Amino acid sequence: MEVDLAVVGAGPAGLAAAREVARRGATVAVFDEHPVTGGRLRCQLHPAGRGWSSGRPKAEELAEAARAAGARLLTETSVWGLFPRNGRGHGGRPGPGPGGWVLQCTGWHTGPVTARTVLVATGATEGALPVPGWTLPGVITAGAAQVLANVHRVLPGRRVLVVGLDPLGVAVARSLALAGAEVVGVAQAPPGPASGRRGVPARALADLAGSVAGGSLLPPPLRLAARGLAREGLAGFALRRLPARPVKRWGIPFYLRQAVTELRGTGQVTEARLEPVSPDGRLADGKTLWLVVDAVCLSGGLHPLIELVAAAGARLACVPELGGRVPVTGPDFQTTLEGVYVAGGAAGVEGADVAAAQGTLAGLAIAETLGRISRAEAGGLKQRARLAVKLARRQAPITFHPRIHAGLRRLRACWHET
Amino acid sequence: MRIQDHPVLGPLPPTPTVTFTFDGVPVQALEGECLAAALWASGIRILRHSFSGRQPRGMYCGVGHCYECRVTVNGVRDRRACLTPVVAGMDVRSQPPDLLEEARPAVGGPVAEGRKPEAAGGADGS
Repeated sequence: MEVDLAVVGAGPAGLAAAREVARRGATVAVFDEHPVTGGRLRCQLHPAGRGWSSGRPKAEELAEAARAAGARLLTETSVWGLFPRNGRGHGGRPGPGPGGWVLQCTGWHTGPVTARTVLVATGATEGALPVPGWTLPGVITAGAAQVLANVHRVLPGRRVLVVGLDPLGVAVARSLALAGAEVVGVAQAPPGPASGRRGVPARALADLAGSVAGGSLLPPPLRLAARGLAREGLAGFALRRLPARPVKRWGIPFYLRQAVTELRGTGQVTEARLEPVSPDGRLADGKTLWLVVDAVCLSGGLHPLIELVAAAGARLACVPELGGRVPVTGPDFQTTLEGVYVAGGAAGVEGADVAAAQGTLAGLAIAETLGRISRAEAGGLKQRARLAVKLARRQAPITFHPRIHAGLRRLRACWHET
Repeated sequence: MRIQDHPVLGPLPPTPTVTFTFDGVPVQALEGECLAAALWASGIRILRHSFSGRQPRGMYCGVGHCYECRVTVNGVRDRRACLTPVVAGMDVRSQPPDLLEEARPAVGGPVAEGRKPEAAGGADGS
C-alpha cells in the first residue's frame, strides 16, 4: 500500500487530520487497533455545566467526515514500527527519508505501508497505581471502566471503589454512579514513589483544584476555595482541618484523608483496605477501614503514548504539564523527523476537542507539505486553526494536567533550540 | 450487569445476540462487542493465570495497552480480549500458566473470519 498520508490512531486528532488532507485530494489511510473508530472520545461521558457531555456523537461525526472526504479507515490493524524509507534504520542517523516512511502493520492489514507523510495520533495511556492485590480480576483502570459502562453498557461492578483523586477519577466515579453503580468511595492513591504526585494528597488536591473542571469536581466544603487550593501548601492546610470521615458529594464519599493500601479477594477483588494518610503522603495514625467492593478503578493519570515516534528517533522532551515525555513539536505539530507529525494526546494530554482542533491544524500543514494547498492559502487556514486550538482549550469541559500553558511554552522553547 | 436504561445515553439499543464458548461453556454476547465486555457482562472475569505465581488475571486497561486480557481464540493464542470482536461460534480459551513452555504457533492475521474491516465496506461495528 502506498499513500500520501498514513495516520496512526482513529481518534479525534487522527480523524480530523485525515479529513483535512483527504478532502484536498491526497490519498489517506487511517489505522487503528480497535474494531471501531473514534478512539477514547467514543467512551467519554463528562459532567459539563449542569448536564453531561457524551463523546459518541462527535466521534461518529468525525469518522463520517473523514470517510466522506475519501480517507480509508483501517480498523483492527496495529502499526508496530515506523522506519525511514531510504533504509537508514536504527544504526544510522534517524531522519528524513527522501522517499518518505514505511509503517509496519499487523492485523486486517498486514505488511508494510509506504507513506510520504505520517501523523502519529496514538493518544494517551494510563499510568499505573501499583498496590498489593492490583492484579486481581475486577481491578481495572478508570479508562477501562469508561469503556465498559459507556461503550459496552456493562456495569463494571455494583460496589465500585475509585482510587486516585484526579479529574478522570472523579469524572469516572460520577459516571458510574449515574449508570447505577454504588460508588463506595473515591480514595487517595497508595502512598509511595510509584504513585507520583497522586501519592501525595496535598499535591493531588492542588492539581485537581487547578484543573479547569477542578472547581466543579471538588466536594462542596472545598469547592469555593478551589482557586486557593490549587497551591499545595493551602491544600495541605485544608486537608489537615478536614474531619477523618469522608466528604460526601453527588452521593459519593470522598476519602480525602485515606489512601488505599491493599486490595484482597480470591479469584476477584472483594475488599479494599483504606488507611489514614498525611497530606504529604505518609501513613498516619488512625482507624483502618475495609470496604466491601466488587470492582476497583485505578486512576493513575494519562501519559502521551509515544513509543512509535520515539522509536523512530524523534526528539523528546519531558514536560510534566503535558503528561510526561512528549515529542518536541513545532507550531504545525511537526516533529524533528521530516514528514512526521503528532497531534492529540500523543503531543500532550488534553481533552478530545483540543485533540480534534490540533488534528485539523496538523492536517492543513500536511496538505501544504504535500503541495495540496498553496503556501499563501495554508497560512491563513493554519492561523485560523491555531485560534481554534486555543478556543477549544479555553472551553474544555475537562483538563487532565494543571499549568498546561507553562508546559506548552517550555515545549516551544525546546523546538526553537533544535 | 448490563446497563439497560442509562439516564444520559438512553435505553440499550436492541442488538442481536450471538453465542460463543469460553473454555467450552456457551456465553451470550451482543453482536459486535469485544470479548472482554461480553465475558464481564456474563460474570466471567478470570481470563488466564499468570506464569509466575499462577495468579488469576483479567481485563485491566480495556484498550489494548496492557495485554493482561490475552486469550486463545480459535487456536490462536495471545489475542487481546478487549480488542477482539465476538463472532458467533468463536472458541475462546483461557490461557494456562504453562502456556509459555509450549511451542509458539504462528501468530498474526485476523481471527474473526467472515467479517470485513470497515474500509472494505463493512458496517462500523458499533
